[in-house]
Amino acid sequence: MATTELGVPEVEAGGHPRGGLVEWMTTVDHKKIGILYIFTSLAIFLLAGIFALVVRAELARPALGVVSEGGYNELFTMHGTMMIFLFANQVSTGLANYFVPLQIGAADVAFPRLNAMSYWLYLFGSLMVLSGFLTAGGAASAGWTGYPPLSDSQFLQGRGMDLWTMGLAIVGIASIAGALNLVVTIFNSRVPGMTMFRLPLFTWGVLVTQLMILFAFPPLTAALAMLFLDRNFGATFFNPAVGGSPLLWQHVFWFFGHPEVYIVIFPAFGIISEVIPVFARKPIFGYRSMVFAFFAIFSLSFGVWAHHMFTTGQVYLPWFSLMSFLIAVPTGIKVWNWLATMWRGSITFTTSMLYALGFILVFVIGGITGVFVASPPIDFAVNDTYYVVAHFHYVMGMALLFALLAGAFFWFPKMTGRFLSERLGKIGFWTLFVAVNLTFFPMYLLGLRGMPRRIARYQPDLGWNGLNALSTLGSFLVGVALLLFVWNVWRSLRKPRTAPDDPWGGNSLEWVTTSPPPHHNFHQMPQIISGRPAFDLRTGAVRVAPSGEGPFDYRRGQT
Amino acid sequence: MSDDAALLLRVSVFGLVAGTVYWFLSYEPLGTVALLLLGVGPGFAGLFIMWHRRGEDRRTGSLPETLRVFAGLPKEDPPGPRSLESQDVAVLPLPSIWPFAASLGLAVALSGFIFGLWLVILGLGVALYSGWGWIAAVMRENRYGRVQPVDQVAEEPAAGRDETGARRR
Repeated sequence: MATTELGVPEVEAGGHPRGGLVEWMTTVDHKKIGILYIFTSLAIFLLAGIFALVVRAELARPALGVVSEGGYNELFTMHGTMMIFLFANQVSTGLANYFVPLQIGAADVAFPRLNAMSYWLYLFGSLMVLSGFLTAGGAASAGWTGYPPLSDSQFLQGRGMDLWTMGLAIVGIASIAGALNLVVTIFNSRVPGMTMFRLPLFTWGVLVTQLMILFAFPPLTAALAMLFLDRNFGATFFNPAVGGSPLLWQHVFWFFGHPEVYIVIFPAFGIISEVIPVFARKPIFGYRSMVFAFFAIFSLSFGVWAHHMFTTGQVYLPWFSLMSFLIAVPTGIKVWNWLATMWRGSITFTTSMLYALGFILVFVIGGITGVFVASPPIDFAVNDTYYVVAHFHYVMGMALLFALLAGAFFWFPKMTGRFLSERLGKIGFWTLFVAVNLTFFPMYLLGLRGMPRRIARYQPDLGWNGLNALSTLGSFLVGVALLLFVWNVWRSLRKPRTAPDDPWGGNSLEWVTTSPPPHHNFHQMPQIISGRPAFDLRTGAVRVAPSGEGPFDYRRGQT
Repeated sequence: MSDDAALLLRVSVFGLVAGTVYWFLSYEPLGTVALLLLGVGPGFAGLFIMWHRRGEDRRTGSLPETLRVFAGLPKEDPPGPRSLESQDVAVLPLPSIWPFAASLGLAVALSGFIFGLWLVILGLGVALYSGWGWIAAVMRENRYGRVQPVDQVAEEPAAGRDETGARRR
């Protein structure tokens, strides 16, 4: 017996009926789904951050014993898993959900219900991964990379690992569905006049990210399926005793895993490319080269996966080393373009701009050290040490965090109609900037002094004590800076709506509509003759597209 | 050639070239297959979009023009239309519980592979029922339109909260 949704007649101006839980559960509005994504991923981020603090607390002294060694394994495994799969990927999907349709002038994504399904699959998959903590054996503890044979049932019993595998597979399906949706949206739902090379760079970043998800996540899903079959149904993909190969996992995982780091950072590139031109009061320098750099990194990133496997002795080193060096070229083009955008601009140092500048610094520190480890001789020395941990926390974790905070201060007025406090924001920025470097720079030195990753305890006479204590101190300071941000958000949400439509003098279409946007996104649409429609409208180069009488009405057939 | 197709085809060319070079350097099958698949995947998508937009290309794209786009050279962007009146820009769908229910069903069914067959059956049941509800909703929308006329809305304010689909007509 089919049921119907036709009995939802409340479509007066403003769209959705206002309501509670049911409204959020049934929403297909891309803005609401975006907010759901952002809130869920931030909650996961805070939880994973607490895990990191416990890990750091354990490492503050050589053998402190804050947690058991098994518990420590669970904590760092879940910290990595949650940060990469359940936070970094998904928070950008949330931002993309919210802002891509606005930036391309669409009323919604191409498949709104599929969009809702992506979110719910992501939520349930995440809960499944997390529910490992409730099982008898505890959560997964094979590291976020889940290498067999460690992750095989022979060495890791209990359902935590199975929940990890299946939960991530579900999140993977959610990501693929979400990617299809956003790619089709960007290809097909652009407002007339918005050609591909007039898209804002955030939308470009999202487009390339989602295309990469389409080609990177299926291998991950395949790898997870193989692992699940190995663990539960007696398959032997990764068991060398009967002809399998643990290296197969590493190949397939990293064929996903290396593009994944760009999947994480591309939306951040996009945010920075939006923020810097606005606050430097200049158009972005080298727009086309930015786009082609995205695609160059896209291509190259699929050809470098085995630089994670240099020390296995089973890969062709020169190829993967050369490709890894090459990938620094388009990345460098981007950094230079950001600098050239600021060159001789009239810069205003809002909190958002400060975070964008912080992003560039943190990203370059992380990126340059990445070029070092692309060289096999250096990688052989520092592989699996804290040097690598410091590298990816700088280039992926902290760079993403800075970009997200830049985006948060930039877009919060658009999303809520309220400003975040600039004063608190600036205090937060300087706290975070100091804290991040205090946390992660000592890790480079620890790595060079030979401290391996994933150990809970160490000998006191190795010269690691002071640096570890410093790093732990920094990590708690990071926690303080993030609490400041949370407080800032909470405080702002309780204030009245004071933000105008275009508080910063923005370039892209989201600044043309109201703050927050109506359900159908736009009451009116300017004629689009360049990549900066809001700028054109503000300066009088174009007018709002006339539509007979009054503002253009998108809700065709209703009035 | 449209810009989106050109971008995908460039990635595809990289995959095919890199895969071939890699094979002759390393004779390592797994990496070669992976790189060639990078050629095949975006290549398929790029060719599909090219085929899909062939009507536009016939009007605008000569062979030199196509090659220019593929090489990434800038082309003259047209100005946007002066009026959007004739464009079908947006029809918004109605809220729906089915995405939530289908996801829940799917997640429960997959967790059944860990905890027992009964969960698979239960979850699949929920997922299939939700899929049916989802398709039925789409069919109704195709038949009656996605939104009701405003005057009809005014007559039935009471039905407004029933987004769960529980009320049957």
